[in-house]
Amino acid sequence: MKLRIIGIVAGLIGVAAYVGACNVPQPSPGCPVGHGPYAVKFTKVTGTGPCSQIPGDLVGLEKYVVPGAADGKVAIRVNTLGSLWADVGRVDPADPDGKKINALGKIGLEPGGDNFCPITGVSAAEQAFEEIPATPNPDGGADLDPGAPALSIKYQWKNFKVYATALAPGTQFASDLTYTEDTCTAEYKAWGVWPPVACAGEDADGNPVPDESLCHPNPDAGQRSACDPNSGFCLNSDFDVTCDKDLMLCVLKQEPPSLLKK
Amino acid sequence: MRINRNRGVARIVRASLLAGSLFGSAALAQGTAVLTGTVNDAATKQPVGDVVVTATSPSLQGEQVVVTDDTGLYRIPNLPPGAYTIRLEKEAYKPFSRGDINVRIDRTIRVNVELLPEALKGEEVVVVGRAPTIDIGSTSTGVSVGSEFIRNIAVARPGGKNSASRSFESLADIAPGANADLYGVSLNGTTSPENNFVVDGLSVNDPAYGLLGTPLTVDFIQEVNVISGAFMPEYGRATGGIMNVVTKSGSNEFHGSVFGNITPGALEGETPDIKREGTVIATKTTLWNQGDFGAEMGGPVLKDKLWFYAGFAPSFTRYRLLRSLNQIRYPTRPDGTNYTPQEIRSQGIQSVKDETGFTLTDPITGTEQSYFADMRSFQYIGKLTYLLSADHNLTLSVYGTPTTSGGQNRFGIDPQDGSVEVGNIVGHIAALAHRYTANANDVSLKWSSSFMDKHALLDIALGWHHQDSGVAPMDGSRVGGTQGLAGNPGVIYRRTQAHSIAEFEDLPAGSLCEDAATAASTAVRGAKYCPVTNYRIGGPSYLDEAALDRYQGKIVGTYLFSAVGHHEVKAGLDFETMSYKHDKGYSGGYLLRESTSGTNFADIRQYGYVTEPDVTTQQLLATARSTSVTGGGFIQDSWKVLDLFALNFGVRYDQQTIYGNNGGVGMALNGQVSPRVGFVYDFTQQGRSKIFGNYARFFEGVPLDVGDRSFGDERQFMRIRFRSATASRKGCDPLKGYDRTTGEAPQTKNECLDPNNYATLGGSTDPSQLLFVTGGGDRTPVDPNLQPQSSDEIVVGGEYEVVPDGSAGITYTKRYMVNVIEDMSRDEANTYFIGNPGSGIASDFPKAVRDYDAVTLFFTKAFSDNWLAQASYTWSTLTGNYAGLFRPETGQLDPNINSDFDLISLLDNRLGPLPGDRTHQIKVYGAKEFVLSGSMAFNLGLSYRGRSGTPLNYYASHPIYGTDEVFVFPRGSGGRLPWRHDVDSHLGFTYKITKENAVTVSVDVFNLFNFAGVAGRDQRFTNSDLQPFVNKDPSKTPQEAACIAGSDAKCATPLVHTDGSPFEISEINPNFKNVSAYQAPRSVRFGAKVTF
Repeated sequence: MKLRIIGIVAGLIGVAAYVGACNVPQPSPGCPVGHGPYAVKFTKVTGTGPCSQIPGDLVGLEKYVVPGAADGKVAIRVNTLGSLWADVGRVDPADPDGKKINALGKIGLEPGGDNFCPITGVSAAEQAFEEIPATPNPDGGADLDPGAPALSIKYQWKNFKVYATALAPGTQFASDLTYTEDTCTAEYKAWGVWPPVACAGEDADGNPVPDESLCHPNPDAGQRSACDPNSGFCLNSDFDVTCDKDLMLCVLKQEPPSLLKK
Repeated sequence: MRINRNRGVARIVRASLLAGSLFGSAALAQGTAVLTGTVNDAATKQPVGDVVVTATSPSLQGEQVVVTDDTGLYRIPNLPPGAYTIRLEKEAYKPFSRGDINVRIDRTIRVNVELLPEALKGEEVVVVGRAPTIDIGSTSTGVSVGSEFIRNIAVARPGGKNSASRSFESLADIAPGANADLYGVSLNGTTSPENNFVVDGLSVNDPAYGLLGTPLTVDFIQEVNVISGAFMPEYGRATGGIMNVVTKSGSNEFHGSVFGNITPGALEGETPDIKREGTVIATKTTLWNQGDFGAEMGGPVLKDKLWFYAGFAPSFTRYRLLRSLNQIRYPTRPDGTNYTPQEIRSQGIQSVKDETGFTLTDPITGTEQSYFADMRSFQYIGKLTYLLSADHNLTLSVYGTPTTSGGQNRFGIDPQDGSVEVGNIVGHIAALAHRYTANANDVSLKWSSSFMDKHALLDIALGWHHQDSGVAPMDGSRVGGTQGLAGNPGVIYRRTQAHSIAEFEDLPAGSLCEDAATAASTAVRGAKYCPVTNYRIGGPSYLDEAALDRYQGKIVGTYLFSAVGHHEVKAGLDFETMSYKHDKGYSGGYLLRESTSGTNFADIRQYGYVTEPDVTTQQLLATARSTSVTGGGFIQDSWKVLDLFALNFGVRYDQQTIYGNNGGVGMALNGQVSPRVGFVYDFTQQGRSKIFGNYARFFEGVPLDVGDRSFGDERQFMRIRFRSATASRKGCDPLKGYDRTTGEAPQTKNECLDPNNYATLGGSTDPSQLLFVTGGGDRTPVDPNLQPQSSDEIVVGGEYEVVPDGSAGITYTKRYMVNVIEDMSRDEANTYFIGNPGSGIASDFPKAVRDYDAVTLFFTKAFSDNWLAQASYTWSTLTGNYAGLFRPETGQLDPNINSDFDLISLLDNRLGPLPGDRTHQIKVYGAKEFVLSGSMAFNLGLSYRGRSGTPLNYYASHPIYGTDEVFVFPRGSGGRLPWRHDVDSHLGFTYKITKENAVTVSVDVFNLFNFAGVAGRDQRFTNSDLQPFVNKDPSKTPQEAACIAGSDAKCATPLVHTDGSPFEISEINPNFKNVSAYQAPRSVRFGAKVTF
């Protein structure tokens, strides 16, 4: 009888030890980087002149990792620079294919202890667009096309870090930015969020005004999150965002991680 | 996760199962049944100890002997199923013997005995009645199917999954609350991949998808125990049911059989034609024939020591696909001649339609062509049972089911659901046909020991389950290669302004189909007489090869002792590791799809990665390796409290970790604590009744598909290539130089790869301008507090033996999900994460719900006195927003990562009656054997199945996910299908040549009266995308509250597209609510068997 009890108890202890040793933690999300443009708010740190009054921009990120490699690369492309090249047709004669519109940096495969993935060694994104001469009117009078003077733009990102948790897998980032336009230089703090959600409403006269409610869920209307009407992409409802009146986009309210307290 | 729509949506499967006629060959296997009881003195009614109880049976090697303890209790465990005789002897008592005790797999049968003292004289000994049949040891629900049932009742209907080989899975359909679903049999409202299939102690599930991996034929099987619920902790890792299968073994005499079956397609009944919109290409698929033959034999190598059993059984299925071309019917000119396509266009002439609004077509003579689809399988088994001594035995089994289908110029049959891979041959055969491989091989070793006069038992089992599967081009060339069809890219044509079939195929003279070569402008503005809106050329696109393995070991100890009654304590440990090595690729490296405008082609599928902006490396072969390690243990006690009632309680613990492609953890499923508690009370105390109740929690063993798709580092990118040539580019036009014989489009290997044809895709913020990344290789993040998937079950019921060998009963079952694991996206399919809908990081998603309640009344009489009967009626409800491990609405089989919770925009209207909800189900089986003379007998079996219909929905499309993904109105708003009735019959005639040898011929007729019940209706409300309609008016149903803007002037709550634009009446699918399928027609199977 005693032997039986000892045997049973020993068995139970063995099972309990086996059980206790068996909790495996979930893996980290790695360093994902959201596809498509982020809505980025620029906050001026130093600088004077027109180049120090930029409210923000749309910035695209794309990650490149060769399967099996120990790290990868990230390309950063700012909308203003990309649009001048693609839509307006500005050309840098030294770089006609616009390759230097992308800034390139290195990224690891796992976040650090602070849940951020740093992007290091970021090259400068710069273009020296040549002048566009004015097109005179053959019939005299005002020019058909006023042309544009030469324009040199440079974005230098530093301390770029992407936030990576299961809740926010690469959908927020923070960086320092040195922006140079011709001879003007300014320093900014940039906070980016994915996806960009437009928050432009209309006032009584039909003029666009910022509408804060478009950046937040509307449970009464059955909307669990704030979604952009064109793309259909929805902001994570745990993000702390606000409607920026200059960009008419929902941007982060705090330095990343910008999360609502639960 | 989005469907990988590589092989098209499966058709409705005819529920079908097959079993052959087993006849009497004895079988021994590792036993799991128990014979127990108490022995009392007939005079004093006191328990008698030290009685020697001996059990014998043709199924048993040797005999088993135990002795009653001082409470008079005897217990003989580990018995294989069969007919037993027990003999009880003690000095001063008359010996007692009782035979014909039917012991079934996993059952505990109680036989109480009263011994007559020898001193008693002058009293007649009356053999009292029949041996009891009620399983008084457990609360589990389900049925046990053995050889007498299979011999007498038509089972395994031809035409469905694994029906040629008559796989045992179909037998589960007999259990109350069971229904065939697309991939197998669903038990108690769950889905078939949730079941656990155990053959000779080895789990034979497919490690990647959870389906049955080894569909072994019933001819090799002794008995199947279908456990639909309330099972003890020794069975785990399944949220569905358990099918516990014991294969045949040898015996002390040589026994075996040679058998053959054939189902001729010519005898299939007629199905009504399904009326639908006329199309240019039409394919009619019929069963050509199906059959199998084989031999099996068992016998002694050393009598009572070493037995062997072996068998083999090839089988085949062939369907015939008859393809024909039609042309659209237009009115003719007054003089009888046909209008030209230009006149039809310029004058706006409409095609001729029938009274339902369907376009009418006329066949083009000379275009009929016949194709075949076939499947070939070869099953084998070899087994040795070795009795070392009365207390120790060992069994080694080796068995497998290698299967292939398709081949050069033939179509294949999808092994997962048993359907022909195409419903309509809309393309060149080289682009549509594949060769499928589905091989399964198993080895299992079981050791059983008993000690201390059977008061302590030890069972050890080790096993290896291996599967090789693959999808190859019809010429057998291999994925990742550049030779043969594997090197030809596939192309899909789908322009809105339809192409003419004449652009792809040669037509006989006299057809009105526009010839693209002579009517360039016609081709651009849409063919009139012979439009095709979906056509495939080139190579066979998605190809793969996979190797799957499961290694498992388990050890179970049992200990009996007395303390306030009798205790049977069981404890065990088991360990399992699975691996899934998956090589995949697209033929020729990529799959091109024409845009709806026809101006460009996009690579909608292409494995490869980007190394720098616009710099790519294409992968002809992408490999993913995922593994899983599971460990578990359980402890349980069956406590016969004061010998009055039984209390069963125990707990099971499991832990599973899934590893992804980089060898790191993909997902961990911790803390799977499954308590089980139940009681059984036998108020007759004679083994003739029971009242029981049980609570259990079950956890899901997650299959490896999630490791492959979510943690597998799959990379895809897409480019768009312009079709037309200009000054700066040659253009990419697969139809130029298209070879109509081989299906090859040479431009896909040359001009289409020229970067000058690439369109600019990127916007101002996209670093890559000429491509789009569609699969980035980041592993799917997992909620740090992920809870494993589990469900709870409560069962109460009673059973009573009303006639000898027959019992009736009632049960109530309740099942609900506790936690569900699914992948979700907050950003409309751009990034996903895995979590529990409704909790953790997904608390803003609705909770996953699947509620099942069922009441079952049943009556079962085992085969004795030459007849058997089984009847059940089940009333049930199945509601929720989660069906299970596959989506019945679309057929998507992606356990734990299907599209159910993917997108926030798809989540409305999902709560309601689920696709498997059938309110009433009736199953009646009956059979009788008529003995004509000493050597001749015939048996007749009849079965009836009636069930009420499943709910119907309103589906619309989603811009990213495609068709049938949006519920326009709440689930179930479309009414229900009608009742379905199936009457099957079996007639067999046996002639005994000698005492041991017999010949049997049989005829099974399924759907005897050729009922043409409606099995499906078109639930696609529209092909356009729509927002789910949310009804705000409680006084109206959603269909009453919704309106269509164009048709109703004061429409306040119209149906709208995703972009807000109003829905129009013309977008309603003309086929909506029409019949899409009828039940399987009558089919006849002939069988012959010689037993010796």
